[in-house]
Amino acid sequence: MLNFLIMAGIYSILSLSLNLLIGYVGVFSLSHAALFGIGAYVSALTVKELHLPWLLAVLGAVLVTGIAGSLVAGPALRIAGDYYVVASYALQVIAYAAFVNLTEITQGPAGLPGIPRPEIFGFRVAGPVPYLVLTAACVLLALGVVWRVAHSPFGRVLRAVSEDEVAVMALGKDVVGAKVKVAMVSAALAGMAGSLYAHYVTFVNPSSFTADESVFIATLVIVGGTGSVWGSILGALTLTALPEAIKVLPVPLSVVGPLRQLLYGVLLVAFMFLRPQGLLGRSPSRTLRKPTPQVAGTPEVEV
Amino acid sequence: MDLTLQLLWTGLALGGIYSMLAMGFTLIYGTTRQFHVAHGGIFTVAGYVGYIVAERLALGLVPALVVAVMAAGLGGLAVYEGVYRPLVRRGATPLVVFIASLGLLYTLDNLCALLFGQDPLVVETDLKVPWSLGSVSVTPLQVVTVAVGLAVFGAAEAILRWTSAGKALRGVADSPEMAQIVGVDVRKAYRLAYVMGSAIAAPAALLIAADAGITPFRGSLLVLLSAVIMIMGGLGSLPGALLAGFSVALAESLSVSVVSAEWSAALVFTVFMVFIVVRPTGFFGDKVTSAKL
Repeated sequence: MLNFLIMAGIYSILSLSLNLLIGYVGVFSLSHAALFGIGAYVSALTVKELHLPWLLAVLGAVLVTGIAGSLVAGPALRIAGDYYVVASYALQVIAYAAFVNLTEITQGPAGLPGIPRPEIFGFRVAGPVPYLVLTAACVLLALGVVWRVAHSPFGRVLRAVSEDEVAVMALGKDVVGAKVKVAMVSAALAGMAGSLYAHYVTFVNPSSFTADESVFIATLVIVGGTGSVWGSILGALTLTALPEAIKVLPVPLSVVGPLRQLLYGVLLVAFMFLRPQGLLGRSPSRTLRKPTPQVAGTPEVEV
Repeated sequence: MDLTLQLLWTGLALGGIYSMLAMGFTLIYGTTRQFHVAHGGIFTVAGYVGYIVAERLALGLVPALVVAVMAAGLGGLAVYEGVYRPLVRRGATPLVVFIASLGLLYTLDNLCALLFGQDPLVVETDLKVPWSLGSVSVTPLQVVTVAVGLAVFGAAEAILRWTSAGKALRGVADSPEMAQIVGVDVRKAYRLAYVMGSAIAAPAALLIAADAGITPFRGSLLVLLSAVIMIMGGLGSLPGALLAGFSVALAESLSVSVVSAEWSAALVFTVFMVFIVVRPTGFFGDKVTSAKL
């Protein structure tokens, strides 16, 4: 149970941070698992190889993933949402290739074993209960950050953008800049989740950070609710419980993977039809539903 | 030198596959602006349909191709009529359509994985017996792949240029509002784009099935590669997709002599990232949002 709560906490941070992108910027990302992985590897290596304290390692993970996130967001968000999907997938492919092939550093598919548990000012967070407390603290921190972003000046710009992007640009607001900032914060939080994961499982290998994992994290956001922080937490709680439930079913192991993915696929399609805003999402925002045209005489193309 | 020639040839054959998939993706995106990643799922399904006809029913490659083309075309039409169109009519934004498309890709690929397992299923053919041209080994199958890629391009261009349905499709790609005002049936143009674009995925899938074998998850990587190729070729430009498809495949193939093969996909995507910084409009695009079919 404690194990489940810790993992659900880590996935809550992932879905909260991705929700910033999907719910606020209105773009879809396929690289969240890559950022999660970069955070995990950076943090693990900082403690294991450089023997620096965990707090510095988390900071390093957050910085590196934040930079990686802005490298993708900077060029791609300038153009259009569709480009962002492809660019984020590019980051996913490149990062995964690095995890697998930079064997000198990452030990490749074999992975990094023996990652030490965090030490904070001399206190070793070893047992499940202290680790749950640490995870909960990080979830709260993520919640706080997401709330701050939502209510910061650039968060307000983005909310205005979801009402009327052209008007906001006409006011001279830097819309692209605001979007890139949010993408950076989103990526940095994924890095923090990665660090928590690495020092909890004490072992990382590339198979935890695949493109499929990226889609899984996105499914948490969509099912829980776009633009809703509680939705993201609910999505993480329910869907991390799901694989455990499937394990109970009497199916051969080779089928479990495809069966899970099939379920995520069906969930995504079903939610788009039945409840595009997700379980706890507000009424569909502009990222999900077209407003009725304000200008009389705008031709609506009938398809 | 010999190795370089061999890699060049392998790259060309791969280019046939890439450009077919990218042309289909481009036709659909250029016309409808729907980021149809489920195209990868259609490709996977077409490959398995072809495999069933060729191997399980033992009817051979040509009937398999005919059935697979029909299955893919109908599949694409079903996705548009059954999923995208109802969503758009409810006022869904492109983001919602994309998420549904991604869900569909996962549904189709994993259904195939459950039904057929994850090992490659190969369509047997005599076309794989290599000829030796000097020191380069060439299989008839590779020659066929390049030829089919070029033939598909020619056929698609001919339809777009000289048939009234094709002209309507180009009009819609240029400006749906204008096309509608002058009386073009936009829905019909969308349907044509989905049928044509999806049908093109079938020969690519079958040629892969005959060469290395069809697997359930290759389509998802290939469809995003198609998106990369489309952007490099200039949005909605069919010649651009053809040229960029061959360029990307050649670059991927030749990169093996510089870096190890494990990096080849990462390399292509790195080039793409540089590309959107330097020239976001692609080879043939003039504006980022323009479509030219």
